[in-house]
Amino acid sequence: MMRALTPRRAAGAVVAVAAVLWVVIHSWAGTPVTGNSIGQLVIFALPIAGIYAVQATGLVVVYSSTGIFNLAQGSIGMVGAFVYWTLLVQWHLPELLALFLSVCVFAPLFGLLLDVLIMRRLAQAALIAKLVATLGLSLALLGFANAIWNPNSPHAIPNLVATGGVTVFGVVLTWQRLITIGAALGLALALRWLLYRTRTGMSMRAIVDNADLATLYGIRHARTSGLAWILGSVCATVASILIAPELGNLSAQTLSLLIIDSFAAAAVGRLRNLPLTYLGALLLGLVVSFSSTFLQFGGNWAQLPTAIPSIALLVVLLFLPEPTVHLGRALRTYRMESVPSWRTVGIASAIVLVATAVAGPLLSGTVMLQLMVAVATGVILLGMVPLLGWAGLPFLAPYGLAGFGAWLAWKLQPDLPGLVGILVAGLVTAAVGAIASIPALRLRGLYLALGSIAFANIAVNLIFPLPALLEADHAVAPPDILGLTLRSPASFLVFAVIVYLLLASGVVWLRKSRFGRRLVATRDSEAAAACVGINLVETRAIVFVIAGFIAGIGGALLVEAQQFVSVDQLPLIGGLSIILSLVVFGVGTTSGPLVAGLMTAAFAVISANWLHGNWGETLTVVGPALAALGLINLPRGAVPEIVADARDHPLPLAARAAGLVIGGLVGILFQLPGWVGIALAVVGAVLGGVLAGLLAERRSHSLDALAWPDRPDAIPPSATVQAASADAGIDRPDLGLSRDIDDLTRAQLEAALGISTAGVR
Amino acid sequence: MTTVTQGPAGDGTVLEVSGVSVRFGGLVAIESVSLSVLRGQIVGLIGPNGAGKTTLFNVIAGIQRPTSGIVRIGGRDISRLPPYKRARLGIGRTFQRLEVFGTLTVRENVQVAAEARRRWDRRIKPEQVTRELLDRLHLDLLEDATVDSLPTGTQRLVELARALACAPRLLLLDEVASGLSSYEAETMAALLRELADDGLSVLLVEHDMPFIMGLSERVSMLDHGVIVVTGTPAEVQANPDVQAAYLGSREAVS
Repeated sequence: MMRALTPRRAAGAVVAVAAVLWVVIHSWAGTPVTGNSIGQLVIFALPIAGIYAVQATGLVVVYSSTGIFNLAQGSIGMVGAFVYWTLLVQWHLPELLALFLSVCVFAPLFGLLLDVLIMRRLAQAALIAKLVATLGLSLALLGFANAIWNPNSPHAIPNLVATGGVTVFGVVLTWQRLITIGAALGLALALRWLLYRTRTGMSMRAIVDNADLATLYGIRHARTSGLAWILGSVCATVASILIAPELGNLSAQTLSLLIIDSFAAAAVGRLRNLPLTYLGALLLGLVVSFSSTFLQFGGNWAQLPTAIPSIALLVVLLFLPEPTVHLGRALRTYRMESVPSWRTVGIASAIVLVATAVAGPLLSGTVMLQLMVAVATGVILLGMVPLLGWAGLPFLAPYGLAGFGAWLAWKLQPDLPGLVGILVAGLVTAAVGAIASIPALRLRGLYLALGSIAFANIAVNLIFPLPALLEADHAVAPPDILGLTLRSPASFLVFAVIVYLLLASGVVWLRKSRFGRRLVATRDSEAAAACVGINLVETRAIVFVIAGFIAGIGGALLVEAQQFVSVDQLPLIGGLSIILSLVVFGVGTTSGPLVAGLMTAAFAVISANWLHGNWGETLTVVGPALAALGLINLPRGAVPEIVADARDHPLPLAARAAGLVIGGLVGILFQLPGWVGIALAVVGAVLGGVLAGLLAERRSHSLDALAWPDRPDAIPPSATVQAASADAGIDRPDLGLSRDIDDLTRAQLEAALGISTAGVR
Repeated sequence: MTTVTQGPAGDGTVLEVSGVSVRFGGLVAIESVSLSVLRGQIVGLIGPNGAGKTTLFNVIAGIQRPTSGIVRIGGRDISRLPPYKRARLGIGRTFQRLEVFGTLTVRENVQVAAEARRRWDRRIKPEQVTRELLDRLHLDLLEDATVDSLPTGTQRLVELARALACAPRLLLLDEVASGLSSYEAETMAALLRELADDGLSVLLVEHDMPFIMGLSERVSMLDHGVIVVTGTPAEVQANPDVQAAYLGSREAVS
């Protein structure tokens, strides 16, 4: 169905075409355009398209039958490829046997295991929790893979057929690439058969169409969800094994991130339609092949080819037809945010400030450095709180914004070495936020999340390395504040903490303001917000500007803490990892960002001081990732859950877990010797989240929970109703009618409405 | 309650829908629907499920773009305006599937709307508007409750209060009585009559026949996307098409 060509859409198309033409003319390599060279282009494009198609198919099958967009698809395939390597190279199994074991035995079991252990329980979770859980899985797999298969020793997968191939248009199409094309076509035929000719396939399609109805007809979610994950895992493994020989040595990170390149293909299929996904893969393959055949990127834009799939994704997303206003409330009924009273803010700020002033001079070395980085990271994440926590916009590229603040802090320092420089960095980044919001205004939900990952990818690989920005590393001097140069780390730490506390107070004020209410309203119901006269576009643009301002200041603090600036400070995976920590500790709180920053720093300190070898290097990534998986049961984030829990029970499990976290942090900060510190920290920080999660699970799954009496604000009854009906396999319970209210409210209600419900209960 | 500016038509027509059609691909949701609502008039819209009632509401509110046709408010063509601009021109609505701001309190739900209204109506004090509406709809005792924790009927009242906070001249009510007890429905009917007496125009979709027939000045029936009958409640109830459509259903008899 074609959509009307609105002026705005037409203008967008003209700009996009002009930009592409400009790039093409500017970078024309001079290869003559002949039948032969075009033929070569297609021959190169097909295997690339095949890889994209297989990966994107995995994404689409899982998303359309379970509602979970699997950001870990690349990592799952990566593990499959490493297993294949182990079987083939390390254990010297015959190739076909190794292939069979990894693709037909390991991959399905792995997919099924993931579904049973984690994914099935996420079906009713909020979008951000789903995203963060698969992201956490991805990072955890990445960390474990690096620990098991030492990245410093070679792991190369040979081509399936060592040599030879077919010569077409004067180029050799290797057997490997032919097999890739064949595998993609075979998968398409197999899925076509499965979805249209088998009972199971029909069930999967029925669930996509209407989950409620499907359930009524006795279709079991568990079975189809398991099958979807098996298919997804197999797709991922096949794609990884096929692409791996082309990449040379196996790199866990490269294989994991490869999935980002397939997003564009899946987006063409609107994440649901397989034929369109194949078309998207083909187009993407042709674009990539076109650029490598006819274009040559030198100088500033040498990195452009690696960013092409991400740019393609943004273009696809911008032209994706979407309704102007989303009708239907978010399924999430959890109150993600907790708004502290000013008294709490004051007391907490005083405690943090005094603790910093007292502890600061006692610390030095790595611990001090990481602590400063932790606070700076906290500020960056603070900027994400209004965006993710209140407006409910899943923007996953904190460093994409903070990087501009970091660059400006260095650039402005000779002229504006103090507070003004930092503020200007914030303001300019706010402008960047406004620009970044332009595509974001049209996108929402999952598409925004994907678009933001593409934005992060482009920022890190293309924009930040530009000569005008951060091509090389530079030294950054400590700032001058009120005539004082903050040379001592302790004074900088106090300064950074004051900045954090001021901004956090500002964020609390924002939430309590009219604008804060407006933000939450747009999150809770877009349609209702629009129908009371709220301009959604304007509201979203403003929140992006605010996020940019705070993140920019955070970026400036980050490089001033480390006293140098480099693209390496802003890695794509690192950005995803800190977002993950933020969601784990409370995306709607003003304490969550600081705790998330401290957690990241704590793991960095542990691995720098006590752990050596692969485990130490990857702990920073694995720790938050594991905690993210515990999030399944802590929907609002660890900090608010633990605080609420501690209020109800004198010494609950979760409070003890909180104690362990604090103990762990103390152990690290004061450098308790050896294993005592490690034990405290690891048990406290990682398992604490899981323990608290188990507690939350017990509560929400027990029948008592339906009449949870003490805290009507903590977990709304509807959440427990949903949890209970999720177990029963019903997608959307009849909200409202089955809802219970506590007695006080009921009495008030009766008084208010002059009715009596005494007999009803 | 609201100052009504006369449209160019000058005949007191607040809402005028003419020739509106919505098609999704080959599927016709509504076809050449025309209707109008005068100032202070309550107009009822009935019809079986899937007749296109909610689609028509979405077209008027700006959430659904019509394939063809024009919507006018106070004589002004608003067919191409986004929903928030239509709200600022005086269209308020409630939703069949509730669209409350679930994590906000009852008071905040109303306040958000009143504060939004201040953007185009500088004279009002949002706090005062909120207070008056909470008192008027007897929501004052529940004002600090989080809306998600309330039963459906109360949530509908919150939606109504929120819509009224914008001081609309046209109110679109989508099954506002469903989920209400008979006492609550009576209270609601009395309230709507009061509002209409103050000059508010109401377009009402309802399955509760006694409720809609008792309240509406005129009733239209929509079936398969087409308006089949328009008239007074008595005329519509006597119409054979209506009786055929509702045959076997108890409501048609009453």
